[in-house]
Amino acid sequence: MPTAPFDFTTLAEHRPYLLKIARIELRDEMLAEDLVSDALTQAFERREQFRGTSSLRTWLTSILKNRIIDLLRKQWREQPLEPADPDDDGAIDRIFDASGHYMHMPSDVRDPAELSQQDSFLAAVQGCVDRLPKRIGQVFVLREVFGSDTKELCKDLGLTSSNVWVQLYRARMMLRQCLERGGFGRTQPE
Amino acid sequence: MAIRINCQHASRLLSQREDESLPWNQRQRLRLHLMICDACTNVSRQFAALRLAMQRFRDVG
Repeated sequence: MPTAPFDFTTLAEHRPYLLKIARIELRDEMLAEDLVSDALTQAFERREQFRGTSSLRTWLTSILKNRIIDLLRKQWREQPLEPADPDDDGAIDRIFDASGHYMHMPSDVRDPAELSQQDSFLAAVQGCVDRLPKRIGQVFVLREVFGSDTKELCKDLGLTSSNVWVQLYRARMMLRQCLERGGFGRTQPE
Repeated sequence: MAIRINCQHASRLLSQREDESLPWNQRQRLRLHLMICDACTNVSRQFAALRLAMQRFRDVG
């Protein structure tokens, strides 16, 4: 019989990590602090439900994710997203010429695994994520940091699957354009 | 639908591939396109670097 599997101090050790991922998702320090505090409180109240099959951090992240999704649903209900037309990618289409070829040759990063280990590249990626249009960034971070798959994104955010694909596509294409401005990791971004 | 796709179409498949497995015919179209297209091969590596960087952000700290 597991008795209290952890105390509040153990939970609080995960606070900086939870704040980091809440900040990149929400871009709002106060909201991030609030949701992380809520999540930690909720986790402590439900500590008997922690099964230890996942790591404590994973469990806490899933609790935080639920709080974030509740908040986004409320925010998005108040200001609904305009339905995106899969063929209307505006600025992204201007990357391509009339026959659908790249106007500028995309940089060859050679070794993605090696590049991703560079702190300067990670910082550049974070900077570019922060500069994405807010909702596109929020969908992308839910996918890449909180690990939502496209089915979850549809269900949780009330989006159609083509809408989710378009948001993620726009996010990735905008991120690669943003990173190209800094040489895609080979030179320091401005 | 033609077997040949352009880079714009390929870029959509490269993104979609990051999120779910592509239907067989789309996968073949993309594979053929990547064999002859350096630009899209570069973009596919950029997407891989992006995915790995986000994983590192998620796993570290």
